[in-house]
Amino acid sequence: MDNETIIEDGVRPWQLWIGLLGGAIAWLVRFLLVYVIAEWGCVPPLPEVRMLGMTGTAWLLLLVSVAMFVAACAAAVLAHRSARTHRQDADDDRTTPGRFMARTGLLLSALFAFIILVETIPIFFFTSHC
Amino acid sequence: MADETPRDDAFTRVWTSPAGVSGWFRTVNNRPLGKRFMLTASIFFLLGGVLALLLRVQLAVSDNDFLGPDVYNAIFTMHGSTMMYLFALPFLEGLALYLVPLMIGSRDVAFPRLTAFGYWTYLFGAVTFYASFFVGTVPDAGWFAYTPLSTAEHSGLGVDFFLLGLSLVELSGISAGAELAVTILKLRAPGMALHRMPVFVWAMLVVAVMILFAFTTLLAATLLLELDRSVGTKFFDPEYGGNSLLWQHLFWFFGHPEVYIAFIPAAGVISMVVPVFARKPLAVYSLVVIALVVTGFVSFGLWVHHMFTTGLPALSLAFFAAASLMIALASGAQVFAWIATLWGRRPAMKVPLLFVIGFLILFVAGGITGVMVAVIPFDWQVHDTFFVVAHFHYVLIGGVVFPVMAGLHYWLPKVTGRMLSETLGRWSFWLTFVGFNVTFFPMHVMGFEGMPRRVYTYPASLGIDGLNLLATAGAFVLALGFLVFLYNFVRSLRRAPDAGANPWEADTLEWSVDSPPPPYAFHTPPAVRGRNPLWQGPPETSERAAYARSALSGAPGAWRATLVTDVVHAEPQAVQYLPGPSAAPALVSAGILVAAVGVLADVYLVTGVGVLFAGMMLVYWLWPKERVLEMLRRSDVAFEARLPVLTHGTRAVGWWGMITLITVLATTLGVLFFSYFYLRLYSDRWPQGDLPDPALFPSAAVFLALLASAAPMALAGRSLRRDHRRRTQLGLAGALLLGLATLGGLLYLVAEIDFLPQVNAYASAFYTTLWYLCALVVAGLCLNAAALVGVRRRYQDREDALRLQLQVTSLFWSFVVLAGAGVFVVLYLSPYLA
Repeated sequence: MDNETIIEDGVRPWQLWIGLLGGAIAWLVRFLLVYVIAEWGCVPPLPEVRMLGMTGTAWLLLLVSVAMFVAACAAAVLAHRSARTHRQDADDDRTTPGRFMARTGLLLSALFAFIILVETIPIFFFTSHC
Repeated sequence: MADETPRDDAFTRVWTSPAGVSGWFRTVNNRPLGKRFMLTASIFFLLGGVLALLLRVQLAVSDNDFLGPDVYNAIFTMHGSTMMYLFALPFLEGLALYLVPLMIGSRDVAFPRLTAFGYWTYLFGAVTFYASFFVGTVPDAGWFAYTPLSTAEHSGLGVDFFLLGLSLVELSGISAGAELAVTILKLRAPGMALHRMPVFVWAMLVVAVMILFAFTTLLAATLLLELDRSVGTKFFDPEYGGNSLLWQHLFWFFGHPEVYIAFIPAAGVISMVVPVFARKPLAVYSLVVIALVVTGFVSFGLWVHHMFTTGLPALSLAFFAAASLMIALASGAQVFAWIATLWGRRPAMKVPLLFVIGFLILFVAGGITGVMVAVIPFDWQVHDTFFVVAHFHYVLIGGVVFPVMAGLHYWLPKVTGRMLSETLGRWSFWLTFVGFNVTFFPMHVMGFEGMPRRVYTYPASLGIDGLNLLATAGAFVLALGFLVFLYNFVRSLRRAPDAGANPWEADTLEWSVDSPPPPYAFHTPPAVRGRNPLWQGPPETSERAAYARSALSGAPGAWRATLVTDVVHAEPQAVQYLPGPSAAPALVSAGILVAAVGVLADVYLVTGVGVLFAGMMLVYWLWPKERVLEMLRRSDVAFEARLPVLTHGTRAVGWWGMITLITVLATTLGVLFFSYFYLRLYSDRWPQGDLPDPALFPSAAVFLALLASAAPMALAGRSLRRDHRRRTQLGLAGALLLGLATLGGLLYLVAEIDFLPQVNAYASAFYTTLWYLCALVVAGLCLNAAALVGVRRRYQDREDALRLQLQVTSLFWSFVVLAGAGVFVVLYLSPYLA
């Protein structure tokens, strides 16, 4: 048996890893994208497009933020499901590596979803960016 | 529980570092090298401290002429650079290289010779740095080396010493990052699953991954700046389409994570010391781990908060301000976890805990001012004033040096076998704590009063003479505190009581071996069943772990070995062969040093000789040795342990090593792509000047050949798995031929370019990226050729080592193909996009 692919209680390793790091990666991708869009976003035609009082650049930033927020939430949900699937162990730490990864992933991904949410607020103060 | 006496002299002998002067160059064991890192870094800490005192003497009174402006610039550059590059990181790397294997129950690190390479490269880089004093041209552009201050037009040879010395130090840091990441992931004791890793080990894992991205970015940036200075490229020259802010972006993409790269291990130290003196496990372990991971990620989203005054778009600033505020969540969570651990029961108020409490006070103060400067309007007010100097010294001395002092008082008994004096330790603590606050607290006020940083004097009319004099007096008290510690350390080596194996009744594995640890560290590989192994009963191990531990108990006697376990559960997977003493790492470092000296002296023949020598030594170092393979094949250990000795795939540390190498190389390519697009963003025309768009036809054919080479490489891998020797050879040969065709094509493309890299920034970016791809293709071809030789010579054994060699070759070649596709899209296709 290859220990790298040990499956605990039917939860596959990729589910645990995505649950653990999915939120963080979503935050990182979002951060790099909004940085690029904010720097490059003043190149026409995006700033000239206006809908509901916001420029195309602001809409694009919002779209990316919402997409990554959803991705972080999805990672948190995945981690939550893994945590429920993992049984409580009689081990001295009262946990298994899988359960630890799932519970930690749930908190971590939820925290990153929150951070994405907070970092989205500035977009509404710069609706006419450029 | 001290380790048992070795049954076999051969076992001890095989782990003992060679004696004498030549032995000093050949040592590869993690603990001697960890000590060297710490000792060397401490010497630079003293030098950096002396420079700081000179600065404080100059600033003690207004309009002082103790140091002139040029000397002041040089000294503050060397002070900052010494503390950030030559002390903080190398010291923590040394501490981690010494402690991490002990904490995780491994006999050594995953790549011992890489540790030696890291040390020699660090030493040579640091010496290059300080050699600038002897040639009378000291770097004076600040530890951040902002362009245009650091360009050839505005600075002397000192900045070349700075950039080349720094490059070597960064290379050392990257090697330590790769080393620690793989060691932590693959060499943990059976039972030490992810949820049982000591927090210091978690901290070092986070930092190791951060180093791979952050240090690589700085290494690439320093090399681009050196190219501007020595070859005449124009990356940072606005007159030719370059951009000074590009340097700031690249530098701070490293520079801000760097602060956390120093702080996270320090936080790890605190999380180890607090539970031992509180006599109970760390509160909310999971939350502390989460905080470390969050800090690691978010620290990469803060770099622009050093650039709030550079005129970037307001929206960009707002994103970075929000991220800067968010990171306080993670730091705050850890502070509450430490306080919760200390809460309730009276802790043992020993010197390490005193320094922890000092740290808590100072770090919270530094953290609060950090949140203040994350607020953009406030930052605009205090930018480049002494308020910022106060803030970052509270974070770096309070948040890093105080934990380091706590860690030294805690772990030095393990390293030396002798206890430090409690009385002298308390003197040292109070002197440093009081001295620190007297020095740096007034600087907040000085900043508010308008005292600028990085300026050699200030007028009496500012009315801050008294505060400055107080700060200077405090600096000498602070220095006295460190000297008392130094005396305590030296005194302990001569006449202090033996420490014994576990003087603090601590809980982690490093305290289970003698003080100082024997060369093999663990006679029998330990197993654990909880986070606090020494506070818990003997572990119940799996059958697999029992066989493995029994087979490795005082064995093997002919070669160095430790256990490989899986990433998540830490179940045994293989027995890892660890190479013994060798001068090759020191010689590779020496070759790189010679190359750097050639650049400094403007004699590129010397550079070529250095590169060639380093390359030859690298091949000698990495080439599979038949004698070793034969010894491993014949060893009984695999049979007794019921585990393979030669293995492949994710079980093999070599596979993980290749992943870290690809991460570093991909990050470098990312820096080149970022530079290309950043320069393009601020250019009216692209390609700049009157340069033509790159021709699509010949280049597409070259890159198609590279893309096509992926197919025969995949065929080779599949054929080896299916035991088709001839097809394996054909696949490798096909990939080699297509790779050679690609290389030829790339050289043709370079020859066909009718402009020079010095023409403008576009040309510089174009050439540099293309040459980087050429270097990747050459490296891939070398690996491919070596794999082909391996198949011809060793196929009959069908051993896992050959399979691993092919796997890492295939991984690397896949990366080269992807890199080639990226380069084609960026350099040849993107200019056609409007």
